[in-house]
Amino acid sequence: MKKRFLTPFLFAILLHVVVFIFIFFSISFSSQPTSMPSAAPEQINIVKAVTVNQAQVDQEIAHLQQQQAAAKAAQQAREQQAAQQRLEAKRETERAAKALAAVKAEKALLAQQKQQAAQQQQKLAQQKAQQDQENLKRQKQQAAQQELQQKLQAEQQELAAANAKRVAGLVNKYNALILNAIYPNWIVNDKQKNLSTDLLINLASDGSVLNVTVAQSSGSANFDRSAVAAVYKSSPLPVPQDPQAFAEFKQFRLTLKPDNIVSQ
Amino acid sequence: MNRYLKICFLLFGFLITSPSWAILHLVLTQGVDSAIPMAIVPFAQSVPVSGVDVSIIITNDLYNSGHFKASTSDTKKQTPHGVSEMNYVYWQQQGVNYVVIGSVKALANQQYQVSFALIDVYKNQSQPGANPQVVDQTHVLLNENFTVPTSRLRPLTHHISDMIYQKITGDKGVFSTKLAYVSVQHPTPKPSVYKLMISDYDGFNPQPVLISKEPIMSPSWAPDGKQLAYVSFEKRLPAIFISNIVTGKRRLISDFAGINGAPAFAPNGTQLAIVLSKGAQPNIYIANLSTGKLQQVTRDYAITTEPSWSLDAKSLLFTSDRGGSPQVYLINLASGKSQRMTFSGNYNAQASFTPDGNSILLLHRGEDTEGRFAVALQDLATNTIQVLTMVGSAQSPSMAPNGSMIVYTLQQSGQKDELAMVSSDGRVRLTLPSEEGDVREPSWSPYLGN
Amino acid sequence: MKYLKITLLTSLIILLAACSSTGNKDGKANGSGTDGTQTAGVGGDGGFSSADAATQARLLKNNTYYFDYDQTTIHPADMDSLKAHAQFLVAHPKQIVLLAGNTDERGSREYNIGLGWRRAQSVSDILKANGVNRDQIKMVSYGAEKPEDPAHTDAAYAKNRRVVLLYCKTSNCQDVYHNDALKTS
Repeated sequence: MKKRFLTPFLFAILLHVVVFIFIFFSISFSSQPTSMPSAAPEQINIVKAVTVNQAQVDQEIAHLQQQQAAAKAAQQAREQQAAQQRLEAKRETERAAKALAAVKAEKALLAQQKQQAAQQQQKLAQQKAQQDQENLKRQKQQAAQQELQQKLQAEQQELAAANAKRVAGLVNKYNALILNAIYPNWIVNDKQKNLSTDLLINLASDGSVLNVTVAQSSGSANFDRSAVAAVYKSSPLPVPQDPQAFAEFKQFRLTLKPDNIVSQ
Repeated sequence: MNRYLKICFLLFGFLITSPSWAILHLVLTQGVDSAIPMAIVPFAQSVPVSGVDVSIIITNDLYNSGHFKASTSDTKKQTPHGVSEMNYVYWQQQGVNYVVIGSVKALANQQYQVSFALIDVYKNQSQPGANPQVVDQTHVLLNENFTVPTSRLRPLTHHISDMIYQKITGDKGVFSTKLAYVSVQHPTPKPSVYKLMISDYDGFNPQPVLISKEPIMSPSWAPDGKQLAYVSFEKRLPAIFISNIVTGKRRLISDFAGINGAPAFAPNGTQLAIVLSKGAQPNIYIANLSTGKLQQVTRDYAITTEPSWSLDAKSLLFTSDRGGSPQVYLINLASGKSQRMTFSGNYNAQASFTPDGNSILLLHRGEDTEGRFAVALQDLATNTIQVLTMVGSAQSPSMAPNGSMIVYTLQQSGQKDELAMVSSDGRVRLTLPSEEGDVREPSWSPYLGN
Repeated sequence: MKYLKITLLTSLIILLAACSSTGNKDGKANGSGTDGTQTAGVGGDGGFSSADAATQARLLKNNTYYFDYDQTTIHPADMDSLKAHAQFLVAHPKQIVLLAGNTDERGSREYNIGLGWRRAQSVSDILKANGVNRDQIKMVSYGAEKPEDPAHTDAAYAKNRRVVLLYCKTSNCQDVYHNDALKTS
């Protein structure tokens, strides 16, 4: 029995291990830092100081100021853009992470499904194998059993026939002995010649009459009474010692019909 | 056939685990025609009534019928008088099937209270070891109570016997019926005294109906049990009379020249078959009792006598020696044709149909009786003759209305004539007590309506 | 009236006896079995040529005729006696006799009535054959009811199978007499 399950068991363990590993690696892949779009560095635009006429300077200043403002605006825009970019990058990262997670989940589901399918397939295969094996075994067993049973039955029949013959012999013998014991106690007369009554008689193992009941009345209370009294008066009745033969007499039916009346 | 069936049953019964359907079936086809054993426990009787011992009378009645091995229980160990005092196991051990118990209590004004019970010792015995003191009502077949004056004590006792008899056998008892018979004394010097008597069935309580110095013969009961027809020779010559035994009145039916004899009431009581010779040969006539008309039935030159009606009143049995010896014939009243009924024996006479119509009771003499006259029954189906009396010479058999007993005259050399009884199965034979002189020609009454 | 008849009859008999030629002494000597009383014989009126009065008396005194068992035939020994009675009856056509048939007690009583009747008929036939008018003969059968010997023995039975011939005092025969009554007064 154990052997039968060992292979599939090991197989199942192996499959589990494989699936576990699979699951483990897929998790570690996703946890590795992915290359992300980083925020642009602020120190990239360096200001260069030079003497200029006022106008020029102013211009310059204005220009500078403009430039500065422009730069500032540019900076601001850059910063905004960078923030935007950062936000976007972050969103992108998040989206990517999400996507990755989704992929991962999908992958996991798929893997699970795949595993399940595999498992099922394996199980089916296993079951099929098992069934085949069992069928074969059963067939073999049945054949063997049948053969044995046939042999046994034949043997039993032989035995039963012999036993039944023995029991029947005993029953026949005691049948006659019982009738012989009851008839001298059965008082009837010619007027009752056409009557018949059926009794059910229960005997103890020593033959004593436990109970007599009228199973089928003759229609004449007197006739029925004569029959019941005859059985009680004959107690204990001769019964076989053999339990199997006695079993036949434990409860038996007795029909009393006086075809032959002996005068006394 | 049966045995093979049984073997088959056994074979199958063994193979099948629950053989409840294959219950063993035994068939008993042989029984014994013998008397049913029963015990009559002496009744508790506070005051003895002279001449009436209830338990003894019941015992005798039941014993006389031949159906019972009845005996009065003489043990002091068990003397139950009431149903609650019954120890069934004890009586089962005594081998009896039934027990009769009871008591007679004297009341004021010469009245007696009589109770009795008929107990079936075996009926529905529940379990062995069950308390035998527990009264199972199914054991009690009869449990009755009567109050009667002293004079009715004996008739009541016979009535109780009738009830018991009927309960056990299913047939009506005859212990309350009567006998008519003739008693004769021949003193020296003469004259002889002839009496027509009536008594209880057991010979007790004899009462004269007619006393004469001349012969009285052939008493015959009317079916109503109130009239007796008989032949009286009181005027030296025979005449047939009918006496009403209740009123004492009597009526002359015939006193023709020659034989006037063998009166026999028809089953309906309106006709009387008689034998008249009218100066020539005796032949059978039927007298219509209301019109007085006579109808001749036989026209024979032999001795033709002893007409006896068939149960359907359509034919008559009679005795004739037309064949050389007295034999029994049957004549059909409508056709006038007669046939011989008896073929065995050199003397068959005094025939009558048994109440069941299956046999004829007769006086028979043949090789089977070694020349003796005996009471016999001839089976009508087989014509076989069963001889019932083995001692002495018998005469005038008359059967009880239930067919259980036969009363007859027993003659034994050197002894006076006695009335004797034999049960129809021949099992019980007894002689009845009688007064002085010869008693003979007993005739059993029909059932009497009391 | 009855007594007158008897007296007349008796004197008639005595007269007849006186006519007889034979002496009484011889008759006495011959009459063995009689009771010894002085009896008167009856002579025929010409029927018997040689019969003497004593013999006639003896023959008439015998009025009981016995039969064998279940038989109705008269013993030849009784013929003379019956003839004597016949002769007397022929001589006395107004005299009525009653023939009473009897049997022993065995068997059916009513059949025995028939048997007794038949025995009486046998006797009647002899009387008639000897000239007696049928109207002078009455018959009755008592069967076994009136035994001569009431004992229940074969010896008694033999005595009871008989026909008794009785002379009637009246035509209905209610009163009868044995011919023992035929005595000299």
